Amino acid sequence: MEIKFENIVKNYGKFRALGPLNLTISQNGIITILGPNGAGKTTLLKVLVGLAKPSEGKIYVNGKDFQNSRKEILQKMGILVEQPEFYPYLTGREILEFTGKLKGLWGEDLKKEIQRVSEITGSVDFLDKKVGKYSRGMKQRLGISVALVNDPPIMILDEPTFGIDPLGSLEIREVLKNLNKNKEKIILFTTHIIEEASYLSDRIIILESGLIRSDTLNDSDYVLIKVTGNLTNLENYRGITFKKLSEDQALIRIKRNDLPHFNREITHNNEIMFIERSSQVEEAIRELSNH
Amino acid sequence: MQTNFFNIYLHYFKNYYRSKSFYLILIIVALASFLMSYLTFKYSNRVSEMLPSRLISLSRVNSELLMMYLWAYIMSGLPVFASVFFSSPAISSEIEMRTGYFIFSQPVDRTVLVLAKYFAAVTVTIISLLVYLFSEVFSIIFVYGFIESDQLFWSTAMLILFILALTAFTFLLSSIFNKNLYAYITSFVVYFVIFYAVNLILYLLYDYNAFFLLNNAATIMERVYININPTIFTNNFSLNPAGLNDIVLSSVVFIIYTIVCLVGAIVIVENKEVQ
Repeated sequence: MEIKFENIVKNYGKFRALGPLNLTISQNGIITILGPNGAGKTTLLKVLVGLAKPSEGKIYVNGKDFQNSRKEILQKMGILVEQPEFYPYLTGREILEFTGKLKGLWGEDLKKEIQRVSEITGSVDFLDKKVGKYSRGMKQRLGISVALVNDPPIMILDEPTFGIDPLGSLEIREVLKNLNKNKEKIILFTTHIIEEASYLSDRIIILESGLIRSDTLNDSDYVLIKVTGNLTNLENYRGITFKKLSEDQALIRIKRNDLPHFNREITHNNEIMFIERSSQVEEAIRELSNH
Repeated sequence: MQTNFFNIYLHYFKNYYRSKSFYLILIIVALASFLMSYLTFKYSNRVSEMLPSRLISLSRVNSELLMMYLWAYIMSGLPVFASVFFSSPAISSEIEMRTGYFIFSQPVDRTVLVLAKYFAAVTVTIISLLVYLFSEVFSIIFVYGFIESDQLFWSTAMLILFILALTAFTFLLSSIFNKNLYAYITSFVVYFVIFYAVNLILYLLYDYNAFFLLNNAATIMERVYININPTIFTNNFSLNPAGLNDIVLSSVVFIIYTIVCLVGAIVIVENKEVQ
């Protein structure tokens, strides 16, 4: 499968939300669109699945123009865009039956598929309740189930862990990790959590103000950490790249195996923190990724 | 396409008939049915005596026909409420309630989505009005021992055409807006204020009967019993049922509204972005 964005621009009135953007995704795996709020992540996905029309440019999936082959292309996609809402007087099972039928599943096959996807997302227990009574997290799990129906080769997931409790988020991450185990799908997902992107992704695309700022393979041998404290020895330490965020803070890209040694040698009396989301951090990641 | 259409139709139909709006409309229709049944049972023989003096000639009409006219007169207002409740939020709610993210990213043409939802809305509107129709038939047969079946057939046929047209009209208005409230208000204002005002102005200033207005065409439901149009002030009316020409004219108006409004709604939805 291949997804190709060709000179895509999306304007809302005079405001340019996206582009011009050229991007080709041709290898299976988890491709993460990372960026702060308003970066254009959701707009990019909306344009890709036809919920918004590009002001300029074209999208091709397997060489087919999306505008001309919309229905055929959507058959191959599992989609979760924004926080999902469903018809409140229907049950989760009815929503999944509806989706399955639109994707050509009927009878026993449909029943088995509903059982499969709801087990994966942990939504079996509330599947027969009306959606109007679902919590945000339950709707999110149902949304992921909907996207999984019929095991599509392309999955588009917009902030899939949004609204789910911390334990549930970890479960969803593992679900995505397992889906990607054999690298049989393109899983395109957005997040603003760098840790999530680092953990899951094969490729990270950083989007800012509607433009691609960085597009790198996520080398899992490296980790990103933020150090707070005395940074005087940082310049002399070999094997790292870093960017100072302030006088006493720096973002560091370091080999995972070097981390214990680095911790002993350099960050004595310093505090190592997991990186947090901020535009400053993302700017630093872009620079570090280019090294 | 047929399979998808039926699947989507059922999906929306289930969501409609389980909704609170459906039960609210059923209560309103049941209330109207009760009041009209009360009138029929209590005043069946004195109904023509209660008419204003300018309509005294109506006393010559048999009271059964007059009673059915009154039933149809009330009935012509009920589909407006039912259609507005079910159809005004039909498209706008997909945006406001954010279900559009789900439904518009399904592998199905938006035209099929609109048409399936349209027929689901028409079905629940008709179902909700069946209570009224059954009450009418039961009351009239019970009190008078028989019913004018030809006129009842035409009145019911016109009711169905009116529901088709009105639902299409409210779908068109709904497709313009992204907020349900705007769609509700606009539907009511256009039907009960704009249409009536245009009708009145054209009649008073130009002595012109605006047959093309939906509310005017809807009077055919009662005019198949006695040819009096309650939306215009005139002393020229016929005590005979409306003729075939009037039925055809109203049918054409309904069909044109249905086609034009549905095409308009489909074109708007095809180009609608989910925001």
